[in-house]
Amino acid sequence: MQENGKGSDSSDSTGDGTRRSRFDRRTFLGAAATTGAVALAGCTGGGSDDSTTEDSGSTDEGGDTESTDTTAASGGKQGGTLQWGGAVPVQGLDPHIDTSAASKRVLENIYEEVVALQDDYSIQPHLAESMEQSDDNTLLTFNLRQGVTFHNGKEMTSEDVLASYERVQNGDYLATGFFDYVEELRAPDDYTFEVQLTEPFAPFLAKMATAELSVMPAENAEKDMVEEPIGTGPYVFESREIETSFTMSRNEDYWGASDEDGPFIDTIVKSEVPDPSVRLQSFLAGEYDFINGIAPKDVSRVEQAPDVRFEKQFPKSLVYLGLNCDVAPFDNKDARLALDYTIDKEKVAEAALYGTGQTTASPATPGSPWVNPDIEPRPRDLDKAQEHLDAAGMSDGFTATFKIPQSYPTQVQAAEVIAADAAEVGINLEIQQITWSTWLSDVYSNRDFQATTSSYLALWYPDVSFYKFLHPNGAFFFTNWVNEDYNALVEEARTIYDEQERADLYHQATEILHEERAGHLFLWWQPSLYGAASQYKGDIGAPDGSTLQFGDNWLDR
Amino acid sequence: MATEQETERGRFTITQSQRDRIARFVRKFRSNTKAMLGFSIVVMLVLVAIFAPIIAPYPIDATNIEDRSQAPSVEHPFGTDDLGRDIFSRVVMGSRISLYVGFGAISGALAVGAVVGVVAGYAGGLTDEILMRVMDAAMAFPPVLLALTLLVVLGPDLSNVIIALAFVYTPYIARVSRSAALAERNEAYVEAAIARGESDSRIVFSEVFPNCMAPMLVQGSLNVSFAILAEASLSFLGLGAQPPRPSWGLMINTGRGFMETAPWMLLFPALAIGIAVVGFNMLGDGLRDVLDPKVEAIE
Repeated sequence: MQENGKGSDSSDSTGDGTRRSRFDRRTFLGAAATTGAVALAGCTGGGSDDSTTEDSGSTDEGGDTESTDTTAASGGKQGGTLQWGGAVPVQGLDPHIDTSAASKRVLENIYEEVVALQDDYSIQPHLAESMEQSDDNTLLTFNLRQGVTFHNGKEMTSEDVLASYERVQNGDYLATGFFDYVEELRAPDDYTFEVQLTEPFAPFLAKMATAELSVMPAENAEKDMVEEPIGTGPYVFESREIETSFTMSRNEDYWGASDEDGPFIDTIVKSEVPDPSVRLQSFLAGEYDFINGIAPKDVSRVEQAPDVRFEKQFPKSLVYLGLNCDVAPFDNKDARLALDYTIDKEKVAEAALYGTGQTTASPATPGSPWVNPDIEPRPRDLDKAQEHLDAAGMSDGFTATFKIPQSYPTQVQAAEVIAADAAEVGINLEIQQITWSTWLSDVYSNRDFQATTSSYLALWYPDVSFYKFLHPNGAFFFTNWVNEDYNALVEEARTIYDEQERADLYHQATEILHEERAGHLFLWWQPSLYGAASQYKGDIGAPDGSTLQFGDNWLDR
Repeated sequence: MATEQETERGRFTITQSQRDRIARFVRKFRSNTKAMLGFSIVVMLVLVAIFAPIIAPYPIDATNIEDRSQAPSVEHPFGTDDLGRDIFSRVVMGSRISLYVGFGAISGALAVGAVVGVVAGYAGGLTDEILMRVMDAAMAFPPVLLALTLLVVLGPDLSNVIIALAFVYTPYIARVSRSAALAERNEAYVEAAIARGESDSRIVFSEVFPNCMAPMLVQGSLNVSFAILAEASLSFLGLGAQPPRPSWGLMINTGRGFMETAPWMLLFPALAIGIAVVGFNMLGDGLRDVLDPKVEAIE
């Protein structure tokens, strides 16, 4: 599948050996990695059900990178304490409930899943030694690893896996909807776990690789909400002070531990530093070994700083302009098209991202086969904009409020450029800065908006890109854009396992999104941006592009 | 003016003495450096605000990414911001927002606060208690915090900022005018008016009110500076003026992220706020000195 993704932008891997071992390690860690499907970027669960969108924090925090510097293969030095200046405070600690990327960045290291996402976006067994899919794709069988222990010392068996999955199936958790396609979950013996689907349903396996289905001890799975996370991952939860710090320590009994792949670092202390300039200042002053969420405008400063590693992982998130297709003026397709034609997407992306991003007309991860190569963002064309305004019966333009989450300076910058562009044909977008929690409640949950901006994270799996927020039954659907042809295409794609066939469907779906000017007008893909001290070694980031896995990282001091 | 007319008509005082008082006021005002300095700053600000579109060399919303974050130069005396907009033009246009909010909010506060205060002070008793306890309650909240809360309810918008700040500063005006009215209540002219059988409302608004104007003016002009500052703070927090309006507070908020790379984004709007606040403060202080009867007595 998509080979591009991470890595591609960021540096060089050191040769094959490295790459390989990295994958292996990732396999383990990967479990944690997951999250993928979760998507909207993030966080805060403030409110709403499962919403999410990017973390509440300030700037666009960052996800992760991968860049292979050195040593993964040759092994790292054990010990040390990693001081991490974190962008967005850790929210809830229950992986089946919490949608925030900030929480996932730590939980990735504590919890693992049965299967894990790889750097090439393939899915490999992780807490399972092997897996099989029946020919009709409806029976998934996993042979679980033996000797995997939870942080409480208890061995993981199929009973725990079953309990974790049943918790989600029978409760009201993020992934609960996916169990509509599950006929039965079985644990025939201690190390075998089976999922019987009612019909072929490709997204289920991908969902299994996300934290929404991470494995917890059976006794924790009985709780409605887990407050002290216990998993099988390379790091053990130590303590947290809400909005202040989060500490985890090395799992001495990690099942996947090795001299090559770690885990190496004794203690990881995340200090919550939501203000991007304070974070960067403190990092440059040597207070932290590592920071995430570097603002695009500060990239050149980090690059120029001596003894600092700058890392970029692309893509992390997709930022879009959301138009409410249920209320005037954007219930009118011509009004949406008129706005589309006024926006100079390249300029907007440049204004906000200083050259670190890329414009797009598709919700699929850049470089993946799901991207329709024939569809480009509409170029700015004021004559066409006026034609569509005329067609909409609003020749003089119109006025709409434009609600922007103020914790994302890049989106505020973009909004100012968009508003200035649109004003030239009389489209008056009145910017209203709102807090993240207001965004979640007003815009997302109550759908009380005309135009807005926001972002989605972790779109490595196409069902997330095309179904989760664009299909009326998707968990993050909120722009009220409904098109039966589109829905039929993405529903069918869920049952198809052949890549080419599936890609065709997604290409057609993208065409509809574009022609009908769906409620999501995609602005750009942006990377995760990290800074690390030079003694901080190893790949930064996780395969999903937005979380972090520290297992193979080490400190050379 | 109202004072003068009222006095002429309502009482037997001589117009000449009023004229003298005004002349003395002007003379004292002129000789008070602080007042004059404050006055000149305020006049200058008002002129800048009125002629802003003529003074500003560039359109304030025109983004130009190629020219982003340029240091001050001949072309852009205050530099450009992160979207390539001319900061000088934006600071100049921003004076309109600050003055609009400052004068708007304080006019509102004066209109309500003065009536409440004078009525409370003149009436005394239960009326006084009720009105002033309500004012005390409103005053118990820190001004910016109260304004923030109101804006969360009303929604972020410049006219709502005016409403919120008018509400916040009303009790301050009310207190000052109440104490002025308390002092006036026992003056002989009030007794005379009562003896003449004038109605309470006529006494309050035609007799007492004009004589409480001086402290209200002082308080008002001081509060204009607080209101300007509060608008900047609220816009800084995202609840006041919304982008792309060139509010000084908003510009500082954006500029904060560029402190190391483009300090001019923060410096010039901050200077503008400083000058405006100092101007109104000095004017208020000066006015107090000039109008203070004790100072007069010493002279």
